[in-house]
Amino acid sequence: MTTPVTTSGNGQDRPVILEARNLKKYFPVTRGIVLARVTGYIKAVDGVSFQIRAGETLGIVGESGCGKTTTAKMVLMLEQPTEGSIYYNGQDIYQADEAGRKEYRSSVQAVFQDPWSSLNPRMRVKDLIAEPMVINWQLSKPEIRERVLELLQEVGLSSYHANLYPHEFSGGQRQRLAIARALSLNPKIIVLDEPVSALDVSIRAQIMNLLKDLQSEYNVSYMLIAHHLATVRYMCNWVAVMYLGQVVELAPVKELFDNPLHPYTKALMSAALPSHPDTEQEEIILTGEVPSPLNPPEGCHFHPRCPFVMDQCSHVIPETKEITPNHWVSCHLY
Amino acid sequence: MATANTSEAPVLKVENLRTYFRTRWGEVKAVDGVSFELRKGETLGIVGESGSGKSVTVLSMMRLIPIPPGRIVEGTITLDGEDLLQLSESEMSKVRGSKIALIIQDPMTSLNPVFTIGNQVTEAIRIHQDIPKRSVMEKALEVLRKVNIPAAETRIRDYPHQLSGGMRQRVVGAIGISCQPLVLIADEPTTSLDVTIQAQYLKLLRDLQQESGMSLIFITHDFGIVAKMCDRVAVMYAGKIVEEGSVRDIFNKPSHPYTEALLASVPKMEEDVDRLYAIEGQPPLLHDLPVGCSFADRCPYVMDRCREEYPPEFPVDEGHYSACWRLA
Amino acid sequence: MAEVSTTLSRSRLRFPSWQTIRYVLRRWPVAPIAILIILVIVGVAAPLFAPFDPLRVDLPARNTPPFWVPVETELRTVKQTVDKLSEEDRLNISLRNARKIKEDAAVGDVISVITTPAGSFKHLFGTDQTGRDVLSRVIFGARVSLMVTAVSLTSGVVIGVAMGLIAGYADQIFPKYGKHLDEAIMRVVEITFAVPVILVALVIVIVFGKSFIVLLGLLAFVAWNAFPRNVRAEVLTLKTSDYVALARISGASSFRILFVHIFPGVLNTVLVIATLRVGQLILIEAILSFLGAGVQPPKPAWGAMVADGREYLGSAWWIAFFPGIGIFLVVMSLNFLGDWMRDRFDPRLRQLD
Ligand SMILES: Nc1ncnc2c1ncn2[C@@H]1O[C@H](COP(=O)(O)OP(=O)(O)OP(=O)(O)O)[C@@H](O)[C@H]1O
Ligand SMILES: Nc1ncnc2c1ncn2[C@@H]1O[C@H](COP(=O)(O)OP(=O)(O)OP(=O)(O)O)[C@@H](O)[C@H]1O
Ligand code: SF4
Ligand code: SF4
Ligand SMILES: [Mg+2]
Ligand SMILES: [Mg+2]
Repeated sequence: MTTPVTTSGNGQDRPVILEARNLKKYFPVTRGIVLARVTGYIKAVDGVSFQIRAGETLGIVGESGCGKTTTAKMVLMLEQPTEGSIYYNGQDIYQADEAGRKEYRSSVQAVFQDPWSSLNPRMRVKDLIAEPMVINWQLSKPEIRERVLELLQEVGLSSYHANLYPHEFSGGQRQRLAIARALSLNPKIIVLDEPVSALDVSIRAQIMNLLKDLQSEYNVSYMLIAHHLATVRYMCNWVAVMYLGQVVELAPVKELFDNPLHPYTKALMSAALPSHPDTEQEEIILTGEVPSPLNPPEGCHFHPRCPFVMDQCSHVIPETKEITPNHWVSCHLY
Repeated sequence: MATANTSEAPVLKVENLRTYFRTRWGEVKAVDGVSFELRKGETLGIVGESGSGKSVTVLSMMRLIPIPPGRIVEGTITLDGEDLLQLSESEMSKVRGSKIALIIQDPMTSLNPVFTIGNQVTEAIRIHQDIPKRSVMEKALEVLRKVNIPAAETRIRDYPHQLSGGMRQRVVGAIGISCQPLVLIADEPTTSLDVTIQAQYLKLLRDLQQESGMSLIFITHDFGIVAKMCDRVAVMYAGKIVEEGSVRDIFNKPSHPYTEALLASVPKMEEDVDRLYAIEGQPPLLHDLPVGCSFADRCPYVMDRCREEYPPEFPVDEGHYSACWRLA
Repeated sequence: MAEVSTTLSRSRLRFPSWQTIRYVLRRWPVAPIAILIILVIVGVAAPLFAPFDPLRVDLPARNTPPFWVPVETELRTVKQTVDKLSEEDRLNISLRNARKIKEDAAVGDVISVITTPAGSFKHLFGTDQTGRDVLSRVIFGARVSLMVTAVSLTSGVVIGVAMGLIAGYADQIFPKYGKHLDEAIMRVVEITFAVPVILVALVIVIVFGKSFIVLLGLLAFVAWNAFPRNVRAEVLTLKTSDYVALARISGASSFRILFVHIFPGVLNTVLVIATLRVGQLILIEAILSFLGAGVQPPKPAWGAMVADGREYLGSAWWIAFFPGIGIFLVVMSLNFLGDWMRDRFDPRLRQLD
């Protein structure tokens, strides 16, 4: 795969803060217990490149199992990439020294989908929120306490909540706690893996608004993973569409929604639920199941389900091309 | 809720249904006076946030409420001329599956992991239909094909865990439609599915409905599904239906503040929204409901009267009702 | 509704209503906890509670029954001599002995003879065949049993939990050898499960002789192997939990994650298993003592006391009965408590109340 480089356009010209180049993650599939043999690889992520700019949000969409979370885990240094590199402020983090890695780790935080499992049930809220600071910063107890109260206020909770345990909060409030914790180190990037999909409808808007407010206040960048396209449209500046471990289309959000180019993106858009009964929708119903990343189809991974499939698609891997400025697609149609 | 009189009699009519649960905090009024009608071939959407009583409503209709702690306090549920609440348990189990069927939220728990899907589909057919043993298998294959299970002949020997989430959901659907019920209830059937798989499934349900003329009840908290699938919508809040109307009326002229707020709080795919409206606060506790309107604490238009008396239903348009004092 | 709320508000001010009491009794293991607390207090402060020295022999007062048992008498015919071995003379008494009871007894009289003396409040649970106070021995026996289980369980928990943590977490600390270490520990645990404890204990006692240390070692061995498997399973799930991933993202070291996030998470499990194990340990201690391989006489231990009393079950049942009841109560209480804790700590069941 060639690297889609999103040259700054749009008159925004914000600096690139994080760049992933050709990231790959293969999970070995083994058989046997004592003398394990590797029988194949799950190509969970297979050559993904993107950039995240300061104060902006990159959305990643795609079907279940297409490798979104695995990509996020590599950015979070929870998984070692099989291949490829991640540059933070121009420096390769996997080549960096211990101090550089430490700085990177404290600059990249995360909020996960399930607000019930992402907080240690045996810690008080004040200790939960303080933990990253206790680990990374040399602050006195009163300083930490003050900052915890400040963070609670920031996410719309009050100082009274500091002494409670997580189970005393509702789902939405817990997600606020998770956000407060993620903010505690003044990170530059927060990875949001489906941050609202486990929440109730009426709470989702609260959390999305909070995230947007915090972004404009702290100039933090988000990498937002979501299923729900409307959420992506509301939250993101850029969108990367993933299919079976690869980014098939990458564009600024408005461009992508107004002018989707890749057949998979089109199918995804048409499958999304309308926001009004009178919305006219082009019905591209994909047939078949998502193929297994264990042995992805040859050529274009999408060809067994693609309504526009051509001869070459089944054996030639399409290249990633910049069709219009900032709009990258990998498909033989273009 | 009385609906505009049309020539055709409704297939299903629920009147003043109340289902309470006894808990350690007191009596939880999970469903508190719900009425609606459903005509042949019609799709009704029931929307509302978590805990508003959507599932309890349909479980009451299926007579599947655990008793105790639950109890159907009053109401009538008339299906095809019979009041389901008056039937004996054995009569009811005949009705269940053959006249009214339910597809529930979690496809993994509604299939038994130790039986093959073939077993489970044929079981459902055998209970309700008097057909010879040999043709049961054919019938099972037929419904599995109908829900687009590829290579149904081989899949029929698979166990649920061998299928993908989307296929499992379709098998559950196959069991639901296997006896051609008059009313099929789908309780959030697609929450665990991917966008594209969800679209396949919704289309399938619609095709099946067109073919057999059954009526559908869709329980969801996603207005997108309502917009795509439903003819009429009932919005539930704290155990009551607060607004009911045709899908266009609800989207174009939401007249209950809760409906309005819910619609404003969902991001839209087709347009840029600067800021979503967020409903602040929490729904009231069902064992300790306020005297007046249950939405009063979160309502931007609240008036003195709202806190004193529960609003009756006011007609907005033909077939469009809303329980809000602003319409008085 | 109205009725319920009034009883509730009243109950806050006055004596709790019967419903409240019943509710509490049903939800909380009040009786088992009370029994255990009493036994622990009594055992720890044994000298304060025991009316006598448990080793004090008092031959004249031997075989005294518990306090409530009345005098037992029999009518016997006085004869010149009695052949103790003959069947028919069982109901007769020799003149010499009869004179000890009644000065003017003569051959042919029928006199009443005390077969068992009355119980007295001096020895509430009676005395044994050498006149030692059974109550005092049960109380001191509680102390010995408590000490034995406390020591063996503590060492068992420490070893077992450490093994479980290492097995479950080794791959985070030693990426290369972790998997093998895990394998090795789990194999060892499996092997120990297959060991017939009582048999091995008897062999060891025969080889190394009877000593308190050997007994403690044996019981510790019984105690430890219940922990590694469960602790390891718990560690494996906690290790992949979202909050551990988030701690790692925040820069927490493997050791911090192990001790701050994972270890507290396994404590519930450990507590439950330990509770269930205590009962078993007391039982095994009793069985070993009963078989003569445990706590050595004259030290009072419940198991040994049951073993001693077994010979006199027909004539002096109380010698074996009271320590037996002690074992029964502790084992049952701990099992109830353990089951209750398991239900309570299991997050899937917790939401029920
Ligand atoms: N630790 C692992 N070992 C083996 N396979 C893995 C592992 N983690 C993920 N996978 C596989 O990698 C693929 C991508 O998984 P990933 O979790 O990144 O998907 P996702 O896009 O986040 O999906 P979802 O939307 O369901 O969260 C899946 O096929 C998954 O089964
Ligand atoms: N078995 C039960 N015992 C006690 N209360 C119950 C029971 N089942 C349901 N309830 C209560 O009834 C209320 C309505 O629940 P219901 O499941 O109908 O909500 P719902 O609208 O389907 O929500 P969701 O969108 O989360 O499925 C809830 O407050 C719930 O706590
Ligand atoms: S490369 Fe071919 S198969 Fe792939 S998306 Fe484009 S047209 Fe479809
Ligand atoms: S009745 Fe009053 S409080 Fe209730 S929704 Fe209408 S305006 Fe709001
Ligand atoms: Mg994921
Ligand atoms: Mg429900």
